[in-house]
Parts: sequence; structure tokens; C-alpha cells
Amino acid sequence: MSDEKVSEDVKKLVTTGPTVSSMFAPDKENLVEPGSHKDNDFERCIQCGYCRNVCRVYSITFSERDYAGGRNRILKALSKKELDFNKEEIIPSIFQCMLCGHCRTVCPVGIDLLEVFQNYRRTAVRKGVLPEKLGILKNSILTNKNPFLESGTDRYNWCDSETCKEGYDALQRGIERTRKIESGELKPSDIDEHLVGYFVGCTSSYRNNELSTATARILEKLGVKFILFPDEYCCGSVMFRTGLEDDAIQLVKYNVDMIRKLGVNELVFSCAGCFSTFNNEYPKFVGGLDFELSHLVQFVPKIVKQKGLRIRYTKRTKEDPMIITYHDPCHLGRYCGVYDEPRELMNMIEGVKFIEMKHNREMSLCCGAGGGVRALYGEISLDIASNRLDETVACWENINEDRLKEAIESKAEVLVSACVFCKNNLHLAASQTKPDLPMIDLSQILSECEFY
Amino acid sequence: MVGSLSIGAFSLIENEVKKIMNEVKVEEKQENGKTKFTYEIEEFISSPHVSTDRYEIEATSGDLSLLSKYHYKFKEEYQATHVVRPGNTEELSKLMQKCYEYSMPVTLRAAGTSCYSASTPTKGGVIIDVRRMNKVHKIDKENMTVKCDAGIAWQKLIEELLDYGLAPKCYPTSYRASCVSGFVATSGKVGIGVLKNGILKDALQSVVFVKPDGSTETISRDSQGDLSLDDIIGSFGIFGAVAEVELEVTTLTTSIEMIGYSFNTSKMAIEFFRTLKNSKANKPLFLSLSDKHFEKYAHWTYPSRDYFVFAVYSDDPNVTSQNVSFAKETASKLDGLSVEEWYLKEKWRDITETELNLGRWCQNLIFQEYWVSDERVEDFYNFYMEKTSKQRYRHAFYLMSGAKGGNRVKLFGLSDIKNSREFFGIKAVFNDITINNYEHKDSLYSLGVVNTFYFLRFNPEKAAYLRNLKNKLDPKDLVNSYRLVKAKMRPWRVGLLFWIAKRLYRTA
Repeated sequence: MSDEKVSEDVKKLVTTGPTVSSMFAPDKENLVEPGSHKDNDFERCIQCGYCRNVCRVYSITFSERDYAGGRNRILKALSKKELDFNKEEIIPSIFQCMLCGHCRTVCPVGIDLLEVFQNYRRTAVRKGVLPEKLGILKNSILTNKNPFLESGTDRYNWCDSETCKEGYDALQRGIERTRKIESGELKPSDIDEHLVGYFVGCTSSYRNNELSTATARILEKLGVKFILFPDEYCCGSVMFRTGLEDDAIQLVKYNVDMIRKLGVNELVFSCAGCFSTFNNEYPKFVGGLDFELSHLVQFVPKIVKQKGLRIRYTKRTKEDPMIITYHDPCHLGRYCGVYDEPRELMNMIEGVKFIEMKHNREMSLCCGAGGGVRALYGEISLDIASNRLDETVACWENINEDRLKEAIESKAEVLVSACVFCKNNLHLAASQTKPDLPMIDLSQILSECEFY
Repeated sequence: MVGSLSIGAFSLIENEVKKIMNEVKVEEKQENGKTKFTYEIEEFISSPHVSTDRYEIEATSGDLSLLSKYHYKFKEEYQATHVVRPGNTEELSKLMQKCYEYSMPVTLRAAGTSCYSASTPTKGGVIIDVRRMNKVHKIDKENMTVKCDAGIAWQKLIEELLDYGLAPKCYPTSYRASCVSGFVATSGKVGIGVLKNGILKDALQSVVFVKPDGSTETISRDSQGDLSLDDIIGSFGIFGAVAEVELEVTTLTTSIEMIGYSFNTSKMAIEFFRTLKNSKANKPLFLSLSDKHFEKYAHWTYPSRDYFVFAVYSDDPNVTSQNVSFAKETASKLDGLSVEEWYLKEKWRDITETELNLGRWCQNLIFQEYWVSDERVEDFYNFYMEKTSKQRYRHAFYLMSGAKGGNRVKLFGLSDIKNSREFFGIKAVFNDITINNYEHKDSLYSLGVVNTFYFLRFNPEKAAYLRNLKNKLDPKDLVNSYRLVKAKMRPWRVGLLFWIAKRLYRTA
């Protein structure tokens, strides 16, 4: 059947109906702001089912319980006491959701479904619902200040200097600067009038050192004298996402206090989860933050423009670029609205050619890792990731068709993201189903770039 | 010989042991809350798709309307005992057969985007959710047809056809959420493409149909059996399940343009609407008429005049251009004011959401859908105005053109169920309009458990025909009961409710 397929050009012309709607988010500019009812906003759900078609969990399970509209129906019944609250049986209806926010994007009545479902989790946990794995995770965070059951003192044993000396050295210099501020040897302004701190996060500290070392290399290449936080605690993202908010507040207060004491003006993140948690959750508990927040994909283009730099990917050339496609992480995109900056950044890099996947920006498909689904429902999470990879491959097929037309020879293609959780889940799925598909973080490409 | 005897004896013993083990297994399952029926279903449908989970049952036991709960929840039959999701026609057939064998009531369900409890259980039993049946089997470019599972979402089908330069001839405006089988089971008379390419009935070539006893039959336009395609379309699942469909498709067009004019009077707007609709050479792909309230509640900025007619033309560029010129000429004769292009483009792009955006204004969006003939649109509108102009509640009017001389009118009330006087007051207004509409030979557009009594009261002959067919095909009355042929709601009870509501909800 594929031989009979019409070209992309024809498809883009006109359809007999509205354009392919799964690719476009509803335009909300000309809509009124909905009258929110906060915690019980689920009452406004009209069960239209538009969120069903975008729900990645539903696409695997086909269960009405697993998408936003169905969950709202359960919430309505619970609130009217028409349905019992059974601590064990209710768990899938609460936790089998990545909180990716795609449902919120398409909801025509404008319900803040993320708020509704986070509140559902919070309420359930307060009523004593706690899946065993979440209990372990909670204890680890409260005891060790990280979710990986690792010792808190090992947080900065990132990488050995043999494999990543440049990044390791950059990190060590960052730590030294921090210690000097702590000891009073230096004032923050002695390092930089606009002091930048790099909040590494637990996953890049304990599991994915390639991101932290890459980020440190990039910051140094840009001439940024950043500091680190050797005593940082888990940002609390996983706790906010899984209903453990009451326990997360102490982490929030500690981290903010620590960052303020060091006199940081701008906090940079390589982890999309930490970034969105600082953006969306922290202000609720500590008022406004008195330092700027930037994800690396925002920070790099900003500095590059400020300093009038150019970026060149050293492993390929302008004539023979590496073709990459970008997976929008939910925590950067739908949570924080960061869509343009990573695209602007990728388009700045000489030696890299960026091409969009079919579902992108607000309509990007979740990788399946978030909201505790990876930990609690591993198989579903991997199936979702695998489906996302199918689209990547389809995108590449189109790319290759275009490339043939342009008579450019392809040598490598890569799926890129800017979230360590997306990277890990998609990488795991690729290793099982599509071993030829490289999945890397954008920071890893940038660390191999020259800024000049 | 001895060896083979031993083997034979061993096999016999092994079989006996297996049998006993199976029985034990069945007993165990019964103890675990599952029944023998559940276990037998799991023999041919994988267990994750055979659910007795109370939360899943709650989530699946309804459509856009929550009314069934309040109308008959005391009987606790609005909830099923099982939700089962067959993955193909064979599984569906075996499942229906098993339900028949156990005399288990069945509620057929697709996306649940119809209303009035059309996909709500009425006797407990099994909800059969066909959404897993979502494959495209064959796209035949030569004969311009597509064969697919009936549980496929319209959006998925549209996107798959798009790859081949094709498109469905017609589909509902709810295509982002709804399924092919639902459009067949309701009526497929209104939506995108119906005016230009004909209604669903014209495009439907054949269906693979699973009857209440589980038997499967392919029914095409020239079938001579008990059931015809005409019987199946709009039957709300009372005769069984549509498993697969074969539809005629059309080619992608190469141009699309929208026109929109606002008018000061309903009379002019309706005349413009009718002219566009009935122009033989220039059929729009989509045509609607709305009042200012509708546009206001759906958008932040909206056309200035009181009535708005919107049409979309799609064809080859020359034809489209001619169509647009015709519309412009007609509008200028009727003093229509052209609406800005950005508004038209946005309206088309978000055509699925437009009517739901009204829900941003209120806690509960109430609506009623009517089928109104072309000739009666004006009278219908005047009666509607007569009824609502005295009311305090926020209301809106939206009309979408259907084919064959009819239109779907959707009336909205923006309310809050907690303000029960207003909520039921609005329902009472809708009731008056419904009765008036039936008395003038028109009808409701969507029927479900909670409004079938209107159909029975005003269409006794049609109801008798359907009842005979139902008795023949489903003598145990197991499948989608209380739709079209028998009412769950008591008319006197509903009448009394609305009589009281009218008195409690005083007009302005």
C-alpha cells in the first residue's frame, strides 16, 4: 500500500475537511478564560471525549478509566459518594497517567486537568493510598534527598575523570567557586555580576552523568562562571507529581534557602522536570523567586545572542549535516511553554539540520515516562515510548524522501530531546524495539559544538 | 500396545485433571469476584480487556449526559457488571454469543459522544466497548472505497485516507472524538460533507453486522435478509453491533474557501442559509447558522450583527471561486455584512470545539438537538424565541445543515445543576420545544434512553415496525434496551417534573 501513497505536498494542499487536527492544538487566543472552580473543576467536564484521542495511556489500554474524561466521571461519582473509595482498587485510576498535560491542551471547556489530577493524587495520598513503590521512593527522598536510594553524600561522584575529563574539571571548578562563597572567601559578585547557578538534579547526578558533564562543558565554552550546589536536595518533582506534595514542601524551602544564600541571580537546569517544578510549584510555597530560571535550551541561545557568537557542530559540516528531529518534553513544552527556544537553538547550529516530527509543540506525544508511570506501570510506559519512536521512524522516512529529492546523502539521524526522563524512556524502548535509533539529549550535541 | 494404552490412559487422566483444575480455577475466580461468565470470556478475549473493575465500569457507564444516573439510579441498573473490549469481529461475535447464552444484557458503546444516555446500560450486564476494533482493512483507490473496523475514530480514518489522497465523503463535526460505528448507529445525517457528497447512508456500501445471538452477517445495499442497511442506520444499536463498514470515499480537493456573513434579522439570515443550501450547482461542504449569543459564548470577539451564516466551499479552484462569487452576490442582495477572514479560518479550524467552547461560561452546559425541516426553520426559531425570550438563563442557538431537506438545531442553556430550579427550568423549555417540534412533523435529532418516550409518543407506526424487527432479532430484549422501541422513562413522570419546574423557575 505504501507505493500508492500520495506525497506530502499533496497532503498539505487541502483536505476536504479541517486540516489534520491531531497535529494542531485548538487556537485559544479568541476564547474566553473559563471560570475555574479550582479543586472540583472536574465538575465542568462535559465528557466530550476530545481528550481521549490524545491520551497515550488510553491508546494502549483502551480503558475509559485511563483518560481524562473517564477519570473526571470517576471523580464526579466519588464527590457525590456514588462510588466507594477503595484504597487498593482505586490505584490505577489515580496513577495510570503521565500527567503529560495533552488533555489540558485540547480541552474545549478549558479545565486545568493537570491541577485536577494532581489534586486527585494529593487527596488520595492523604487518605492513605500509597503504592508500595511510591512508598519506597518517598522514604528515599526524605532520608537521602534523592529518589534513587543512593547516599546523599555521593551526589557529586558524577563521573570519573578518565572518561569525561573536560566536563569533570568544569564541574570541579564550579564546586570550588561555591565553596569559596560559602566560606566567605568570595562574594557572589566577585565571580560574576550576574551569578549563574547550575541545578543538576538527581537523575543527572546519580544516573545520567553525561548530561551534567555536557552541561558543564557548554557553560564553560560560553564563558559562564557558574556555581553548583553540592548540597542540593531533590527538587521534589516526583513528589508533586505523585501526590506527595505535603512531604515536598520541606525540599522546596531548603533548596530555595540554599540558592538565595549563595546569591544566585539565574538558575540553569539541564533537567526539564526540575525546571518545571521550580517554575510551577515553588512559587506556591515561597512566594516569588528572586532569581531567574532558565533551561539550558533557553540559556544557550540567549548567551549566544548576547555575545554575538555562532555555533558549529564539530563532528559534521554544513554540507553534510547531522539530521535531527526533536521530541518536545512535556515538562518543557506543555508545562512551561518552551517551544521556540530549542528550535531556534537547533537551527543556529551549523552542521545540524533540524526537521519536525508530525506531532510537535503543544501536540507532541508524551514519551510515557512521567507522572510515576515509568515506575509503577513499566510495560505501559515502554509501549507508549515505542509508539513515539514509530513516529520518529516515520518522520525519518519522510526526511529521507526529501533528502533523496535534494540529492543529499544521509549518514546519521538522531532523535533529540531536552529531558533526561524522555531520553531514558525512549532510549530503553529503542534498545528493545528499534536498536538503530540513537536517542540523545540536546546538551550532548551542544557539548560537541564550537562557540565562536 | 501396552505403551499406547498407557499413553491413552495417561491422556485421559490428564484431561480429567485439567477439567478438575479448570473447575477449581472457575471456582477461584468466582471467589475473587469474577464469575464463570468472566472466565469464559477470558478464554477468547485477553484478560486486560475483560474488566469488572468498579472504577472502570463507572467511567464507561455513560455518555455526554449524566442524566441516566439521576433518572433511574435507584434501580442501580445504569451500571454494568463487566466492561469488555473485543479486538476484532470474531471476538465481538463470540462475546455476543456468550452474552446471549447467559442471557446477559448488553450495551454497545463506541466513543459515547452522542447524548441522552444512548450508550448507558439500562439493565446492568455487559458494556461492549468497540474502540479496540480500529483497523483499516483495505483502501481501494480504484473503486474509491475503504473497509475498516467500525470502532475506528473518524480522526484516525481521515488521517489514514489522507496518505492516499482520499477523504471520507462525510463525517461528524465531533470527528476528533467520535467513531464510525456511532455515526452509523445514530443517523449520519449532519456533518462535514453531507451537503456536497451526501449523507452517510449514501456512502455506506456494506456492514459486517453481529446480531444479538452472535451470528455475523454481511449486509450490503442489495441484501435480502431480515435486516437492511436502512434498518441499521440510526437504530441506536438495538438490533446488534456494527463490526466493520465499507464506505465510499472521495478524493482530496485542491482548494478550500470560507465565507461568512452577519445579518440584522433572522429572516434574512435564514433566507441566505436556505439559498446556499438549495443551490443545485454550489453545494457547500459545510453550512451553519448561529445567533449572536452562540458566537459570543464561543469566542472572545465575534461578528457584530445578530445572526451569522458560515459556509465552507471545497473543490477545484475554479469551482470554488464560482461558489464563493455566488455566495457573495446572494449576501449583498440580502444586506449581509462580510465577516473578517481570520474569524472564518479560525472557525473552520476549530469546528469541532466551537459548540463545546460554550462550556467555558458555566458549570453545566445543557443542550437539546432537534431535526428541523428547511421549510420550518423560521417557525422553529420564532417558537424558540417566544419560549426563551422570557427566560433569564443564558441561551444560544446553532443550526447545522443536513442533507435531504433537514437540519440539526442545537439549543444551549448555560447553567449549573446546583441551581436546580434553573437547570430543570431550562429542561422544561426544551420539553415544550420538543413537543411543538414533533407536533409539526419534525423530531429530535439524537435519541437515547432518557428521551425515547418522545419518539414512541409521536411515531407509533415507525416504533411498531422497529419493535417487530427487534422481537424477531432479539427476543430476549438483551441488546441496547430502552431505545426506540421501549421507554425507560415514564412520560407522566417527566411531564410532572417539568410542570413543577416551570412553576418553580419563574420567568423574568
